[in-house]
Amino acid sequence: MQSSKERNLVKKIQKGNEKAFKKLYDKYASYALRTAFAMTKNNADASDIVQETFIRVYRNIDSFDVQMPFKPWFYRILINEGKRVLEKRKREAMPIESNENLDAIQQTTEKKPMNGKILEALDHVSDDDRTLMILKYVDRFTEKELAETMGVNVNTLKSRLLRARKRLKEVYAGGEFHDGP
Amino acid sequence: MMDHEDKFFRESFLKETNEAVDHKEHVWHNIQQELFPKKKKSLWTGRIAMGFGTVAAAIIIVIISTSILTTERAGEEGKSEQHEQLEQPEQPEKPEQPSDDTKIPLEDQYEKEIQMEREPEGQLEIVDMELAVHEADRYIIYVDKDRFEYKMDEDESFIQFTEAEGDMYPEVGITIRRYDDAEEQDLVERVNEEIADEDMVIEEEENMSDPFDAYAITAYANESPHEWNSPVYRYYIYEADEEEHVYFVFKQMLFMEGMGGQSSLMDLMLETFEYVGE
Repeated sequence: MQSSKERNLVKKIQKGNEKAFKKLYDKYASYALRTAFAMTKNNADASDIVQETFIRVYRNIDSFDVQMPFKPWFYRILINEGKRVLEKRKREAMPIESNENLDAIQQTTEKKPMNGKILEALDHVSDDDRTLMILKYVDRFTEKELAETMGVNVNTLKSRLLRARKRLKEVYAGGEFHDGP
Repeated sequence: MMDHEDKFFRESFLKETNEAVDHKEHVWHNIQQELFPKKKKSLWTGRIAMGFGTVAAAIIIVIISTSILTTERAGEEGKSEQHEQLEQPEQPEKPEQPSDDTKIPLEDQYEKEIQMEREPEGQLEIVDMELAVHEADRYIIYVDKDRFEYKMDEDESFIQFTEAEGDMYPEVGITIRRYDDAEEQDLVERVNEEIADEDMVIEEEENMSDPFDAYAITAYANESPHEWNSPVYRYYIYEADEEEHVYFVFKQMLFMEGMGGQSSLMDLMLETFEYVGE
């Protein structure tokens, strides 16, 4: 649930208050940058994504209903922007006419060694599962927040989480972790 | 509850994304350039003013002003070109606050009343706030209109608690004073002297971020500090304009028993404080 402090902050931003917007930025920017970096593994892209996200938030804040939780709304914009940048990078990396290249790139990616990196392991899960894992582990989303952000009900979300976590565990080679006691 | 694997995943994600956080300030700078570009002085102000002079004076002024304006315009255009080459900012979609040049009174630039929310003891409360303006000191603040009243004086303004209290209660409210060309350390010393003069002692000093970034000093009564009606002062030393060294000192006057509720109400009002600039 959104705190009254955050609602007041959003109301101030809706009136064009720069200081309030800076406070909101200070609150969300670090995790937004981590999230964007986890999606792209590229600092310049992560910065661009977060920059564009906050600009969109500010320009569209009037359409945001302050009675609704802010966090899922913010992260939906962030994730969409992240996906947009990834698509753009994909298009830039290969000529549109050679669809075969997509398969080749995909196969190369799948064979990439993980070097003990969790972000490398993410390359081997589906886009939706990747987003779920990032929001869960980087941003500490609750199941309810995840469900709101992904636009699914909590039960569907729970089964997706289980599947994503299982897949991440499978692809993260080397046995760096063990089952808990 | 987070199990061993979850903990491992979380720590790995945070460790591998640490470097991204280094870009936080740089990203904010870009956002600021895009959404809040620095305002430029209006070139039309001088022209409007000229229309009210005598014809003869106007002719002279026109000649002088034209040359000045031409020079200024050349300067502005030069800056503008340079600016465009470097950044090419788009116009912000939100309207800028009208500049001082337009002579629009502050009270006409802000909504007369707003509603704020707070949650004393977990219960949501809507607080009706009324705009208070200090044109000379160039600030606005919204005041809880049911429980407080804003009074303006020459040296300082006062937001006074108006709910019936009686003589047995110490005064409750906030004084607001502006200081120009000031340094924080001088103001801290000034506050320390005032605290000593009023037979109070400093209980706590800290940098705080709520209701805004400021240096806070809390003082209790020297004698019997923990009686229900013992006065408590909380000072906020707030730097409103770093370049011009404009500071505001807020003094919250409370008493022990009323500290929780009154203090959070006062902070709620101070959250709305905005120095508009010259």
